[in-house]
Amino acid sequence: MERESLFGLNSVAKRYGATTALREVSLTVGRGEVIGLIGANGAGKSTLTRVISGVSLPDSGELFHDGHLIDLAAYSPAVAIRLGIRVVYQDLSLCTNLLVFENFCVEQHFVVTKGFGWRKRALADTQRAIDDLFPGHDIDPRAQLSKLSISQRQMVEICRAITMKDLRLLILDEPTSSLAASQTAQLMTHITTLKKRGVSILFISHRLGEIIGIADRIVVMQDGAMVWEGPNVSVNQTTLVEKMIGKGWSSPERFGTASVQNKPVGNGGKVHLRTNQLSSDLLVDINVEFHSGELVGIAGLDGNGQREFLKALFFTGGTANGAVEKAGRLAYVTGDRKKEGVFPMWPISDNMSIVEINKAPLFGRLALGGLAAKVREWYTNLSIKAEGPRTAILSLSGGNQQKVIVARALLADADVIILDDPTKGVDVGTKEQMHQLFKKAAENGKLLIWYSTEDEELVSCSRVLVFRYGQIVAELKNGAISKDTIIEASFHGEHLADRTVRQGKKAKRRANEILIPLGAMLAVFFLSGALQPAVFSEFGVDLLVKASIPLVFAALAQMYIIGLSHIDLGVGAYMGLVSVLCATILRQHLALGLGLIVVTIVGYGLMGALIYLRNIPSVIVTMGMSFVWVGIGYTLQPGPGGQPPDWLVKAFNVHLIVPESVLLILGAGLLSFLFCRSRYGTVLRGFGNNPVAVERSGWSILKAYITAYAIASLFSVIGGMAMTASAGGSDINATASYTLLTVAAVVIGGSELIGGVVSSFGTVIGAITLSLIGALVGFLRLNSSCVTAVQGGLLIAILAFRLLRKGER
Amino acid sequence: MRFDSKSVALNLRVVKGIPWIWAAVGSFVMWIALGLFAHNLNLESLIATSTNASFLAIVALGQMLVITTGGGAIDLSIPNVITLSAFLSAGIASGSNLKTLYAVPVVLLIGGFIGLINAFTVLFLRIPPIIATLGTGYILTTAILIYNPYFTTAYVAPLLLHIARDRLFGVVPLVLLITIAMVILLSIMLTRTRYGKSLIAVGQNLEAARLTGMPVNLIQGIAYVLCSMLAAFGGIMISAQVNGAFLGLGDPYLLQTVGSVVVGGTLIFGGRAVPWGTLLGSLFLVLLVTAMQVAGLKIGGQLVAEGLFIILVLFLAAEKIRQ
Repeated sequence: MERESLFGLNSVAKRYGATTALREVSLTVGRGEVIGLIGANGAGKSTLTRVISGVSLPDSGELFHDGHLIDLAAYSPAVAIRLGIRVVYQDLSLCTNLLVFENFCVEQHFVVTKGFGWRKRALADTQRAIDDLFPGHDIDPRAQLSKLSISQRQMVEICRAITMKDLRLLILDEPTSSLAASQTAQLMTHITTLKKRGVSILFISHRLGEIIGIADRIVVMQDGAMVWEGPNVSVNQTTLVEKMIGKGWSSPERFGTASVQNKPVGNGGKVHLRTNQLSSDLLVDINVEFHSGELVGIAGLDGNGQREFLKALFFTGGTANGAVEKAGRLAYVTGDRKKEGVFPMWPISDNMSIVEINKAPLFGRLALGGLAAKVREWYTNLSIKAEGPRTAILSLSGGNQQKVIVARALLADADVIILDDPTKGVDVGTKEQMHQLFKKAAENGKLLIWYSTEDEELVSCSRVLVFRYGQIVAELKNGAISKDTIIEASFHGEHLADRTVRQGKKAKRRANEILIPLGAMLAVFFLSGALQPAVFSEFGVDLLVKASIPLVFAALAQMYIIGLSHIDLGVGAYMGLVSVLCATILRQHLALGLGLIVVTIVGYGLMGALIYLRNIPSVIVTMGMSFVWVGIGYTLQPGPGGQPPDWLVKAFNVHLIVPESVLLILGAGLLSFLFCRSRYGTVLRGFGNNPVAVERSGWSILKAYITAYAIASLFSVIGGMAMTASAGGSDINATASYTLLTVAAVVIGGSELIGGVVSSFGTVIGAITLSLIGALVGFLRLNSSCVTAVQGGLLIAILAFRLLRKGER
Repeated sequence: MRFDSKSVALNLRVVKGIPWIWAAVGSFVMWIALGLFAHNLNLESLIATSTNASFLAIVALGQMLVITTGGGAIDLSIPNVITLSAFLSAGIASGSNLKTLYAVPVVLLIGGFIGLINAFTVLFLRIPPIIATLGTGYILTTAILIYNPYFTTAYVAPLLLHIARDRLFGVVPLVLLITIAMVILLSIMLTRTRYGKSLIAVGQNLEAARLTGMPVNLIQGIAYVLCSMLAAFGGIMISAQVNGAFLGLGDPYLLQTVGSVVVGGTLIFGGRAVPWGTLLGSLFLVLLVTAMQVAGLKIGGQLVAEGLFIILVLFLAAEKIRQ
């Protein structure tokens, strides 16, 4: 049993405000040891993970690695990674816009990333890693991650962690929660292999069977402390549950757990809520009835559909015979104060009265006096600790903020109050006060549905519904409700696991996505040719393509900004300025002209920095700068005029076998395509999708923004030059319409406005298509004013069409 | 009463807590400086500037409502709605007071319809507000271009001219009175009606607003409709001010509306709307433009200064948002 120690914790304690998350935890992880970590909600498992991986620093205690004391002052996630510690998080930290193997590469420490042809090697390595771990998987490493099902993504996440170089301690936080049985078995096999290699594993799971099967040693946590540890052979599932609950537990026969469906609770209250086969992504056929005067607890291990159930009750339209039938007014009390609770700029009073206000007619004058009186009443009732009802909500403690949110529902006199873990992170006194409030409200005939992650809270409920895998697996009644019975019941229904694992559709190759814009372009091209046969001649093609060069480059510029999920409203203006610079200064003083252009490129980079550093919306910065660009251009040359330098005209009129315009455009697309596929290009795209995850892998956001904006301006510069060369001069006002066109071109080409999904060739094709539409309108002898409307309308139509297609899925 | 430092500190905090204070102080200083420079420091100059600011303020109030919906929403179609409305109101009324009586409601309705389209594309087609309104704007541009050749009226109805240019009792400009009335109305709406409270709530925290059970799409949709109607009304007034309509009439109002709103203390990320601040912000921007003209800055220089100024204001305001 004696192993060399790899990682150790000694009397580690951690507090978050009023709650003690870890108390005096000491644990040693041996080399090549698999430790199973279990515990009910809030037992401290996640905090322990965070401490080990350097995300949270302990308040007291020591950490050891390889027998050496770790310097806590210098400990961080980056240091932990250097020590070979890797966590597979429950919330997936992958970029959905990247291909599977690209996700591997975004990790800084990924093995094969240097040199030419790295993508091929990375692809092979990724393939090997997945093949190794999950033989017989159906994951295409070249598929976009968004095309993968949740379980496939989980597999990728696990593989990515395991392929880490010098992996020494792997922490798996509920890795099997979305895996099917066969994949779980494969993971277990691989863990055994890793173990033989000397890698240590900390395995956290609620599936006790798995833990017993894989762990050498099992550690049980309860209320932030380690309460038991021992070898796996000494326990079975029942005894493990006992360990989690504590002492003196026996006989699960005290309550019925079998079928709870459609069993009315005859307490005489009138039915306020009823669900009929309520199902969703995370819920399976729930049938349950709630009555007035009830205080119903919702329990179960975190993330088994409880919150989805509450939200479904609240948001589903209440129709007779619908999935949810409702009577009376519902109010929702959230425990996630920051994200979906408080209105941060309001004082207590407005925060408290907002639900009541919802009853008023939309434009009627509010009875502010009456509202203020009610606010004062509940402010006093709940003994909120603040200077008064006008105090800013954010200056209150978490407990007092929570009281305000609870007061919302009470003040509005709602008939049904849905409580979504309302006592999370609240001090003991406030908690006790809330329990009394809830009980009193139920006595006054309200229906309260109360989800809590702290099981012992729910003992005051008249009944408790326990969820697992999106279903109610147990209903506990009055006498049978205790922390122990709830925890015990939380582990029921293990057999339901596989039913909730949704296997994804076969991953589609993404090559065909370019076909739609390509088809559109050809359609417009042939239509034009039908009207004007000269279009098909080499000269015709050259002419048409040449006209599209400025837009192609501008669109590629916009693509790099959209890749970050930003929008550049100044691209047209900037291109105009470059064009003016070319036609004026560049012609006379080559060096000065080039120097000024370089200055504007630096300016673009600075815009990126400004957007990140001061958190100003990109739209405003680029819009403000567009006026600056136009202003400078206007000062240099107020109207149309100027002349391009001769060399510039020559550069855009080289005579080759293939029309130069075609080569130029293909070259630009290819260049951009190759950059997007390069390592840093991949990282940039990752930033547009999941900046937190990419930053966690060690990349700088600031650098990424500056780079993307600078690249964008480079493309615009070429676009502006082409414009001057082809027009034989410049006009600062001629380019304003380019801004919308660039966005349209990028979108038509298959890129998404949000999420970092971009396509270089698609953008080029989109730009040519839009340019051709301009020509087509001319051939059709339509009013040339229609061009903008057609292009703008096309953009809206395509976006709407995409939305519909997504909706169907 | 005894003078104690605590109450002074409290008073200072109150002053700092007034969001429109900077726009007010800035306008005042700018007015004094301009007056001293151009030797016309009198109330008349302030009234004249306020009149010009009113035209901007009317449309900026609409922009304020859209920005308040949160999530970085801005209505980029405002300039086009202004131009279109100017053309339509002048065209339909064609110099007749009688026709004006129906021209104005028709133009306002068209404005409301455009707002409805914006709301539909943003809220139901889920297209980001910037793109949706940019797209609508371009379509409107086309409508204007097509209408332009048929537009012959060179006159604006006397009634509209009267409203846009004359003064009540020869002292207070009518358009300023209308603008102030609108500001008061919007202030009441924002603080004393369910709609106003809901709009502010949606802008602060959309998810929390949804969980209070309010119809968040309706709330945001109304903001777009009101914005376009205000832009339409602004277009009617502006066409009366310049006595006609021309292409590009509304163009300066894009950056200036955003500028007035932000300078006036409304948050660019939504959730706080300050109508008085928007009025003062408009005044400040008009004074700024006047100052640049007095200083002999050419159009190009003015554009550069305006652009940099907006970014500077947001740069300085950013710290507050981070809190």
